[in-house]
Amino acid sequence: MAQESGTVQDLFRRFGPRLRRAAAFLSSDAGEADELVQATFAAAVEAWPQFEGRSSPYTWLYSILLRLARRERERSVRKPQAVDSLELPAAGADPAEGAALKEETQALRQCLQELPEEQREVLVLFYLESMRYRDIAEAVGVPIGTVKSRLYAAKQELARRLGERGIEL
Amino acid sequence: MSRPDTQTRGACPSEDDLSAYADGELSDGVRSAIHQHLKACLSCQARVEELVRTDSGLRALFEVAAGELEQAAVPGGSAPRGTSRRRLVVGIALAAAVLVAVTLLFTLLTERVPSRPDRAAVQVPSQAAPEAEEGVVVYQPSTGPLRADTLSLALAGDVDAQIQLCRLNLAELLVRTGGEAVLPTADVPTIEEMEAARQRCAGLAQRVMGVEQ
Repeated sequence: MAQESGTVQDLFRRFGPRLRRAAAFLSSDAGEADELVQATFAAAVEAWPQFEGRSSPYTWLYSILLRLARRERERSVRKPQAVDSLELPAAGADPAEGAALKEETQALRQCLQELPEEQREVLVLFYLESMRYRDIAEAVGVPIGTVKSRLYAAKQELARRLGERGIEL
Repeated sequence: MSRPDTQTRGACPSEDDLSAYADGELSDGVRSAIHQHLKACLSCQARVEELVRTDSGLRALFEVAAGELEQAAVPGGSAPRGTSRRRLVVGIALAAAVLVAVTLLFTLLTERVPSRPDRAAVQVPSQAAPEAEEGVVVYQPSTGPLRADTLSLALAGDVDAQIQLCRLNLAELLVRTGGEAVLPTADVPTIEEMEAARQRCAGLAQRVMGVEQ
């Protein structure tokens, strides 16, 4: 177990920061994101003996993260999109510019939270993790054709929602 | 618009196939079929450009949001540099994008099919050109004609020429494809040369990032 734990720890050393970043976009607040990553680590240590290497460890970790995120979301009462805990300092020297930028990125996170979970997942993996369709398919557990149609729909929907908030791409 | 079947000659591809084409995520056969279709279908060409624009806008927004998150996670980390950071993202996106566009352009002008369109972001800023900042390559619409040898110089590794290409608006570049005098047609680069140029442009983007940091 110690060796297995060590292997998973190596994976987390390598991918942990990225998992945390993805978790922050998948969940509605930073605290939940940290818990998700911790839970993913614990689940990965436990599941490592069963990992058969049919997918890459990288996509395997994401599949665990997504599964736990879905479970958490199902469990929790859907609260209004509490992205406030991801409040970030105003950017840039010019307060007006910083505020405008912050508004855009905050709108992105809010829109993401409003999307169906399946769309949010593929968007995060595609844009944040720069995953190819086949890796997304592995991580999400759907055929690659589903990734193609789901991602297209997700991009359009996100762009539409951003447009409603005055953010033209 | 009806896009029922990618494989059917003459029929417009589905929207998600066009999107996957823009992402460089189709199999060789389907990509080639769509490529052939695009050569004759202005409507689909326009749609691909639109999809690419949306994609690059989203990518830039994610980049900035991720940067903010990383900055916030660093204890005592300074706030991200706001608009300057977004400009940088746009600049880097353009660096890759222009060469993608050039690849597409050459492909449409010739029979060469790109082995795999780079899915790096393509940004076509609609805003006014931002003010230049020292050490940061930002988008600026070109004001003069693109010299016929600029592309060749860029392909040969000339950084100034690469920067000039990076500053071109993608849409503008595509419009210019109508003018054969603008771009060299006698010495069409190979796919390998274009890939090498793309990598050099990525290197340029990294150097720009280094200057920014």
